[in-house]
Amino acid sequence: MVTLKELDSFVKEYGKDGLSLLILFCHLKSKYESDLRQRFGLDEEEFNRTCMEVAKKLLKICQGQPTKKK
Amino acid sequence: MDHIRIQRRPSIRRKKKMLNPDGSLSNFSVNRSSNYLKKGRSLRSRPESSVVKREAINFLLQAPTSGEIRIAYIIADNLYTNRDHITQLFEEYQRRNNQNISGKIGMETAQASLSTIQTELAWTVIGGHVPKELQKPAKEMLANFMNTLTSAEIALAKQFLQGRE
Repeated sequence: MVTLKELDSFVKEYGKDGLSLLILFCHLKSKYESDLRQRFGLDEEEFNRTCMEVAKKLLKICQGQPTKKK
Repeated sequence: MDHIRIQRRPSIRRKKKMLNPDGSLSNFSVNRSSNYLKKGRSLRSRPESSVVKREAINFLLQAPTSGEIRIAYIIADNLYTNRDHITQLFEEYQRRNNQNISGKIGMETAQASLSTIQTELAWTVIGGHVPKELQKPAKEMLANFMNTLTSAEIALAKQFLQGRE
């Protein structure tokens, strides 16, 4: 569990975008964990990275930013 | 979200040469392989795990609804706007209950109750700003966020936000 102080220092550095990334990441992680790990056999680290990558992509799409560098 | 689907690399299984009944090479496999090699990639260097990861990403990209993303945004927006208020409330709460609770009820229970308190305090501040129809899923998402987030995950998020991933 993370404390509010720790979270606050993260938010000061990365702002609202960082916070939404974390919230969406936690949501994806808890909601799709069993399904995803069963289906694709990902280990903990791979699973975390995948969720973070997807959360970042989803937020970029919502902000209308391109998801790939040109 | 069709336009953002990531193009799949040809599966490793396709590198097996397919033979026509007369013994000649099938056009399909030759074309797929040669196209891949034209891009300067070696067939042998394609790791199987990256293909699995792509599949997982595709699956996840289609899984959450726009409502869930909207809720995440609303929570982030309100937490960000009211962060000073929430921190102040929490510090005040801690000052009042300064007697070492963990000594009485054990560290694990203390941590669990602390995370619930954090969630409740944050919700009392931001709950009013969340639309009525989204209140239940929003509170669940907030509770999940507050209870499960770890320092390692924050470090991972920093890596992604700094563009190192």
